[in-house]
Order: sequence, then structure tokens, then C-alpha cells
Amino acid sequence: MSWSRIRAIYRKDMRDAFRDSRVLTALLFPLALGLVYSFIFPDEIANTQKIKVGIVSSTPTRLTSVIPREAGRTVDLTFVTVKGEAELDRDVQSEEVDIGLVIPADFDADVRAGLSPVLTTVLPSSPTLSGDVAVALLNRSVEALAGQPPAARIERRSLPPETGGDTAVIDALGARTQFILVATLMLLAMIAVYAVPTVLVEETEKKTMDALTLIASTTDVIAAKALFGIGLSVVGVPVLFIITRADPAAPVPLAAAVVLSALVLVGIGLLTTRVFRTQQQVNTWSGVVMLVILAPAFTIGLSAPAIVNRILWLLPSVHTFRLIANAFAGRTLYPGEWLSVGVLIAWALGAYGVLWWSLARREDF
Amino acid sequence: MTTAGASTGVTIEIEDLVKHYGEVRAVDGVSLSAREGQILGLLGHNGAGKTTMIRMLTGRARPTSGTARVCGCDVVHERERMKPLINLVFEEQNLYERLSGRENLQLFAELYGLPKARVEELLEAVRLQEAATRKVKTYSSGMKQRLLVARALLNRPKVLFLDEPTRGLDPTSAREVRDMVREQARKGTTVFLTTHYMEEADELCDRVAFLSSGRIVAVDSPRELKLRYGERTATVLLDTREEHTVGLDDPQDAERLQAWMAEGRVLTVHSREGTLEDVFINLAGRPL
Repeated sequence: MSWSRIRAIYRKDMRDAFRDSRVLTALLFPLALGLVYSFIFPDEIANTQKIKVGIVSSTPTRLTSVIPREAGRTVDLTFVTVKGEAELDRDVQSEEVDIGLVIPADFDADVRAGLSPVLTTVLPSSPTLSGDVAVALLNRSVEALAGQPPAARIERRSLPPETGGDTAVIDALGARTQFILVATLMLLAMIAVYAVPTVLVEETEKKTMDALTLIASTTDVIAAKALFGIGLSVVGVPVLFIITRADPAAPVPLAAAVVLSALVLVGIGLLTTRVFRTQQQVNTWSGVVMLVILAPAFTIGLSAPAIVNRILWLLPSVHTFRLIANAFAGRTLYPGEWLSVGVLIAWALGAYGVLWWSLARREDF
Repeated sequence: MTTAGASTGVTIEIEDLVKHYGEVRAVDGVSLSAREGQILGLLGHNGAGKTTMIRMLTGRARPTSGTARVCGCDVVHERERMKPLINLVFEEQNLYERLSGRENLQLFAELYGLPKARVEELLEAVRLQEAATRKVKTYSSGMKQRLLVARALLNRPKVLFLDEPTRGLDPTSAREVRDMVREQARKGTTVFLTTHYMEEADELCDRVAFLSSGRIVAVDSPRELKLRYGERTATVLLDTREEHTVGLDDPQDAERLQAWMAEGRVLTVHSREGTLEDVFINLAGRPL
């Protein structure tokens, strides 16, 4: 394998792809679908609880960064620094802020030392939802700051979040995000099992492959096509998120999940070209392959029989969906993330292994 | 190149080369050789094994048995070493149609690790500089063929294979391609050419090999082949304005011609040596 040759072929493929209506359609269709979903379904961010907190603090504190982390995506917190307690009282009274917070000097150090410093909350005369939420968050945040629960305080037992169930996933993500994830999976599938095979089969049908392999190896060409598919996915998914205003909670795990999934699906797409050797065959049969790949995304929330779920579990796209859903939510909606990673790696090894084997056993080069 | 074959000037050495596809014997024991600067033509019917020969010699098909060395490299075991030393003008116009002429050449220049200046040099050589930024799908067939030739010359190959390089071209374009081939041979490149056109082979080739059913039935210079296997004839115009074609190797015809001459009846005589097509029909049993 020659990296410089792979790069040259990859660059040619990228340049050529954006002049090829078939590849453009494969890219634009899921993007358009994602855009439509984002308009059809309401924006979940509108349901976020907004809380404005007034703060009086004489020394710097990490509390203002810990509280939002504890709050998660459902609460939109804004902190306003206020000069003194009297002003804070006025702001709370006039509902300028939802809650006031008086933080004593050296609060962070005292908390860590277990000295139980007094944190004063200033609440309006009538109870408010925002105030109650803020007080609840405050307890959690102080615990997080101390690294341990305070001694002899009110005991709170937090129920673990419901995981694994499709209904729970839909509840957690919301319909809009769920359909954007479906569009993401569709984009990955369209690139892998339609765009990449189309480009490779065209090379064979128009015999440009023969010209390439006069100097490059078949492995170079196949590697360039794999890179092409992964490259399109890596560019396409962020574009989809930007145009749909999707906001993943954990972008880095999401990026890793997209790259790993693209690697697997592109491997499967390349493998299909060992069977579908003409553009007509790709046009006819890639839809079937895509249906299988997309099935898990569309069965979510349908309470499919256990046997169906067990079969679907074997598919790489199930694990792609699980990983990107978890990364999107920023928490474990589907447990067993490492198992999903393992299944995807196994699929990648299998797909590229079979591809390598089928190329190696060819009579001709 | 310091390999044995190249040091003796022999750039193509084929010995008892065989290629079977299942029961089909596409190439069946071919032995041939060619030297630097020589144009070797391989002629044969469709399916005679010409393209299979080129596929094997360019390292894209594995021979069933026999050996072939190109530029001193074994086509199976030293394929990677051989690749930069050869090139091929394909039978099909296998260009990237959505890319421009320049982009097509730049891709292959990158694959061969050549500077961009080489691309410009060849665009100028094949007179495609003005059309260099146009997409190839807008090119005429002749322009595409010139681009194919330019692509094949990028790496300054020691051996240039051409598979039916003038098929489907108009006479002017075909002439241009033939001139380019001659120019390459003059520079010392060995040219291995397959063609259906006997006149082309006659005009271009230093040596011609006839391939029939996967076997070489004759190989020599066109002149020698015509003399050895072709029928020498003469067209005689008599004073009665009658025209006769007589075989010069046929004793009866020779006697008839002598008689006409003795009687003073002959106005003109045009002798003609056999054509390569005659030779091929004689050897292969049917015309191309």
C-alpha cells in the first residue's frame, strides 16, 4: 500500500463525487430529510426550565460552574453577580432574579475541608418552581464540590435513570432528536452502501480501474474508496447537525461513534461490490441492504417481539444508533456502550477481512 | 535499468506463455521477444488472445504457465518493480469524464510521483492545452485518444503497450496517433501494438506476430511475411482494354503473361506484392 497513491485517488474521488449527481443525491436526500424533521417536530430546547440566579460572593468560587453541570440540559441557568445582600434582596423581591445566593468567603476550601460553611439562599415570599429547582440543584452541587455528601444532612436517594427501553430513549431524546438520529443513520448508510459502491463500480465498469492499477495496487484503490466514504461521513454528519440545529451533549464520543460506524458501514458497502458488479445491480439491491441497516432505527418505540430485537442486536447499525443516542444525550440511555464498540469493531474486522480475502483469492490481479 | 533483459536491448521476452480461463485456452504457448525502439504488432481476430496477452504482460492477469519478462522484470513476481517502467493505451477510452483533461493527467502524474510540469508538457505535446480545463465528456473521440496517449506517456515508459489505439478514429486522428507512436519508438521506447488494421500494422510495425486461437502462427517483419506467405500478382492492361490479374508465382499465369508480351499486346503491367491481409488469410484461414 502506498499512502501517497491512496491520497491521490481519494482526492480525485472527492473532486469527482461533487460533480456526480448520483453521489450528490445520496448525500442531499438524508440531509433534506433531517431538515424536514427538524421543522416538523418542535424544538425541545423550548421546554427548558430557565432560572436566573443572583450571586453575592467575596471570593472566587467554582459553584457557578458546578451547578450547571449538575443541572444537565433540562435547566438553562444564568448567573448574575450582585454587589451586596441588600441589592440581592431587592432583585429577588422584584423578580429580577429567581433566587439569590450568598456565598461566604473561602467557600470552596471550607466545603472541601468539611467545615460546613453556611450558604444562604434568598427566595421570594411565595414558593416558585424555579426557586425549588435551584435549591435542589444547590444541594447536589455542594455535594459535588465537596466530593462527598455532607455529614448528617437530609438523606436523598436518587433513582438511577431508566435505561435501555426504547420508550425511555424517545422520552429522553425527544421525537425531533430521535428523527435527526434516524437521518444521521440514513446518511451514513446512503454513503456506505450507495455512494461508495457507485464510485467503485463505475471505476470497474468504465475500466478506469485498469488504468489506476497499472501503477497503484487494488488495495490502494479500495483503501482510497474506504477513506472517501469515511471522509464524506465525517463531513456530512456535522453538516446535518448544523442545518438541523442539533446540539449533541458529548461531541467527542459522538465523533468517535460516527467514525467507527462509518468505517464498518463503508466496509460492508465495499463488500457488496464483490456481489453487485454493475451500476444497475447497485441501484437495484443497495436499497435492500439499506433497509436492513436502517431497520433498527425505525423499530425504536414499536415494541418489536424479543426475537426480532435479538436479531436486530446483531446488526452494526443497532450499535451505531445506541452509541450516537448516548453521545447525543450525554448519558447512558443504552447500557453496554463498550459492548457496542466491540460489536462494531468485530463487524469492521469481519467486513475488511472478507474483503481482503476475496481480493487475495482472485485469479488475476 | 540494469537488468539482464534491458542490458541486451531485449525489453520483452515471452516464453511459452499460457493463459486458460476454465476450458478456454485464451493464450496457448506464445513465445515472442522485442527490442528497444522496436514496434511489435500483434494481429488477430476478436478473441484471438491479444488483450489477454497485454493483460499478462502488464501484470494484470496471472499466466497459467510460462514466463514473461518486461524490462527485465518477471510480470508475476516483479510486477511492482515493472509498473513504473511500462504504460498502456487501453482499447476503451477509460478516462474520468467528469474531470478535465488536466485533472485526468494530474491524477496519474501524482500516482507516478511526477511533477505538474510533466502534465503541461504532455498537454502541449498532444495539443490539448486549450481544452485542458474542459471536462473530458465534452471532448471528441480524437481528443480523448490523444489524452489517453498523453496519459500513457506520462512516466516515459520503456515499453508502451497499445491496444487497438486507432479504433473508431477518423483518418486524421488515427494519423496523429500513429505519428506519436513512431516518435516514441524513435526515442527508444519498445511499442507493443495490437490492431485490427492491417495497413496500420504494415505501416508502423518493425515486426508483426499473427495470433490465431491463442497461438502465434507467424512472426517476422511485414515485408518478409508478405514475401514468404503473400501471393505476388500483376495487373495487366491489354491493347483491347481488358484488365487481367495474374499470379507471378503461378507457372500458367507466367506463361500467359509471357505470351501477351511476345505478341506486343501489353499496354501496362503493375506488379503487387501480397498484403498482410492476404498473409493472414493464408495463415489463419479467414480474414480479420
